[in-house]
Amino acid sequence: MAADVDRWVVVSGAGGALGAALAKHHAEAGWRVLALDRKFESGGSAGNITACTIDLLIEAEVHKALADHIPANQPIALLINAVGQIWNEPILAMRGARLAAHSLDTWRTVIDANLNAPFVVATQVAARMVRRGGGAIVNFSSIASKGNAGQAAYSAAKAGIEGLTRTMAIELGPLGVRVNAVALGFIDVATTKAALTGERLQEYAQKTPLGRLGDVGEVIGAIEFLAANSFANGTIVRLDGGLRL
Amino acid sequence: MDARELIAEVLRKSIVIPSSDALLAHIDGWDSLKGVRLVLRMEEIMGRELSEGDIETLQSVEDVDRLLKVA
Repeated sequence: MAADVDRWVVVSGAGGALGAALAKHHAEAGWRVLALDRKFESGGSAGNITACTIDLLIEAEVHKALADHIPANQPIALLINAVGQIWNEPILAMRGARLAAHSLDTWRTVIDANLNAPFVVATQVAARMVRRGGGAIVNFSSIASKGNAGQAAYSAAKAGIEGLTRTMAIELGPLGVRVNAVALGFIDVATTKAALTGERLQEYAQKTPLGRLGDVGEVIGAIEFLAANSFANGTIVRLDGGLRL
Repeated sequence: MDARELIAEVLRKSIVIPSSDALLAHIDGWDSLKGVRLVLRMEEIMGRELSEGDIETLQSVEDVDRLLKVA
């Protein structure tokens, strides 16, 4: 997909390591980028990137950010819906002598971060895309969508993302908006390293047929394929080096 | 383009509409997605975004015709 200065790429979750890298890559490729997140630990406004700090769970805030920063006559070519939060919490665990169940509060927080926030951003951007000649949306799933011990809430949210992606593809395809997703395995970025111990990551790398973690460039390649291929709709591209084969 | 042609285009099939006061919701195959497609196609034809007031009045075939004639 060739860059066009009058067409925008929106990146949600652009304050995290992966989202910031994706925003930077597209800005350097010549796109105008609107970077959205509730806080920016990485990235921020620079060059072609306009960073906007908002609550991605509030529809009115997302709507206003799009209206304030992207001129009405300029379409959004691509939404990279990378907002999310890795969370590890088993269904049941011993806390001292007590058998504790997964907290409902953390369940809700994880569903908010990984399903509700991407839903809000995708629907608000789609409403704008359908009136400006269509566009492409790439959501972020995970290999955990098939179930992963210790990640009940995260797995449920990512399975939800895949259902949302397919349903949006069916509903929005006739309106010129294609919706796809990448389902990532373990990628060598700061957020993955913060969520898992080095030992655990080493273990996953060894279990992966390719013998290593993925890198950000490989994630970008998958997004660019889904953005550029005009027949890809409702597709979930698994990118895990073969870990789940 | 008149309302019947436009509705057939949105439904992607030829249809028989018994009368101009027929409600869109009663047309075989009509659903909310077809409603969105109708609004977007009308905006394209009319060269402007429809207001919420315009959209609220779009109940029947003759409502579609009336709005198209204003364009």
